[in-house]
Amino acid sequence: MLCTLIGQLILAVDQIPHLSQSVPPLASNHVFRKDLLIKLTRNLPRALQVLPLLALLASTGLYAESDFTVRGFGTLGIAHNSSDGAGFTRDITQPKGVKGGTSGHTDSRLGLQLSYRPSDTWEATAQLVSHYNYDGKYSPDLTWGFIKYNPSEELELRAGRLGWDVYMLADSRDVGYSYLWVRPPVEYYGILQFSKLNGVDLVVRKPVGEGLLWGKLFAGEAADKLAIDEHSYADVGGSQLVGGHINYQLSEWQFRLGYTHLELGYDIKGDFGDLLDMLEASGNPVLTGIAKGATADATYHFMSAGIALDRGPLQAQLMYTYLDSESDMVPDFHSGYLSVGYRLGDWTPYMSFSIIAARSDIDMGAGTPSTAPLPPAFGTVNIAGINHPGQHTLSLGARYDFLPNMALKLQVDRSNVRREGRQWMLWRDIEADWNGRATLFSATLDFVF
Amino acid sequence: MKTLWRTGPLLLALFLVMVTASQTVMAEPDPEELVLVVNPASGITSLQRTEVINLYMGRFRQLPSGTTALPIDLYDARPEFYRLLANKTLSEINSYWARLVFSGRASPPRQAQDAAEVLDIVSNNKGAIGYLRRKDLNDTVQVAANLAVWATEQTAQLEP
Repeated sequence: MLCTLIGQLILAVDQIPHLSQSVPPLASNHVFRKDLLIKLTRNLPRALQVLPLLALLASTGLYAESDFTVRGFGTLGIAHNSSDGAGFTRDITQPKGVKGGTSGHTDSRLGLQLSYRPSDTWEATAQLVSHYNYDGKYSPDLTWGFIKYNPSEELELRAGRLGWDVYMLADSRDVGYSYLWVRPPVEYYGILQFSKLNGVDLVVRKPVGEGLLWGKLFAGEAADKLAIDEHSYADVGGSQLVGGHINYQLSEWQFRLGYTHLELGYDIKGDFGDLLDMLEASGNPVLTGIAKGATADATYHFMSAGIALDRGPLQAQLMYTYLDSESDMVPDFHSGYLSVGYRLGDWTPYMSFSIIAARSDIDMGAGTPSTAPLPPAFGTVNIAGINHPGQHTLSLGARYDFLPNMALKLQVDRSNVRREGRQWMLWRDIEADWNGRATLFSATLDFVF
Repeated sequence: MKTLWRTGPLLLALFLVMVTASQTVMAEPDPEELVLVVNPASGITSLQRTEVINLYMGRFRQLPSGTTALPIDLYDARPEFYRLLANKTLSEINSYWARLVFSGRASPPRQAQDAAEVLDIVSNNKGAIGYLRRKDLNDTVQVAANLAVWATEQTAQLEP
């Protein structure tokens, strides 16, 4: 399966236009193409009318300007985990981690965006992303599929499938070329995360003082499938999400406050789902209780704050989130990261420190069962051991921009995971004697086309 | 004291000559420098750096007059333009746009191949804004800013 992806990636690399070749069509060409399109479509049988449209999709790029654009991004990555105590995953969609060895699954991905923009006010966009997913396959996922209405600079409405814009950068997590790291800090972007929703969002912008004030509201239903292990996953489809954020952009500074309300409901499928069904059907009230508890709906509140500084060669970010859980089985969480990078010529060295920790004063209550799977956003866990699960990672790396649309990145991560409740974190297939430490070496080639 | 009394006016005169000379040099603009241009009917006389950053970085594409802005890149001059505007390399600008494009938020500026195309677009669109070398200017457009001045300001800002 990885071979297929690598094949696709190599094909994509071959097609990346060289800087001088990625020239967009001239304005006159653009008009010509449109006329040609209309003529061709009129003379074709109805079923074939889509063909010229497909022909138009052939050659565009990041800066393309025809009504139709095809753009793409990708990452070809390898990650080596020096610890054989547990398998590292990048986010909760990955069923199996890299453990005591090297894997191309962790970070490799390929995205393709098709966009149609008949006027300044209307746009339709679809985006497919292929990555190592909950089912162990690389089947493309529709991450975006929306219609956008943009009556003025001050207002923007979208409806359809949208990215979950819960934190700054959250809706571009897959686009490796757009950030410095090999992968977004996993403690912040990997654990308490969905990726997309079916719904609507609204953006309002207004210049205020020297800067720009803008905000977004969104509402919809989650559409993710999250891995539990290699043979089980949770379908969170239908979970209700409502949220928004407000931003103030002042020259090189950006400040952001966000809130999301999640009504989580899900079905567990696969081996683990079968097990829960068996427990529920057992007639034993304790076992039935465990099974019911494992799939009980609950409400969660995500409160986030972020500051980003982007001043010439300097890029710095400080982000924080507090997860307020109303579930009896999930504690509240703090999560955050600090990242700093500084460009020196074509190289940009960077460091980041990221952390997630449960509130330690959580009272799990006397009636809590001793063993239970948790809502899938958090993996499964032995309740008896979770006083305050958490982990932190220190990362050092460098990004090398050797072409205007391609970068090479090298990164070392040192992770430290608490023994208690570590199944909550991004580790799979954990050995009982694992000391909770892992060093990762990663390299990626990131590109856009 | 007496010497100073005599040489003082002489030094002052010399100083004035030097200042005038340096101003003459300043007033002789470099034909290769990049200038920002707008449509003469746009109602704009000058633009602040932060406004231009908002327009070119897709944050807020509206001119102070309320007209929707149409920013234009001059393809070959992009590295110099973004260095002067925000001290950013082309890779950083591409990386920035990758985030906005692939999160469905905004599209990068339209790319013009040469100065003639910039002039053509800007003179025919009330909301268009572009940049080109001073030597390529003509009277169909209006200069709204000299980019080299911003770069100087930026350097001054960075120094403590």
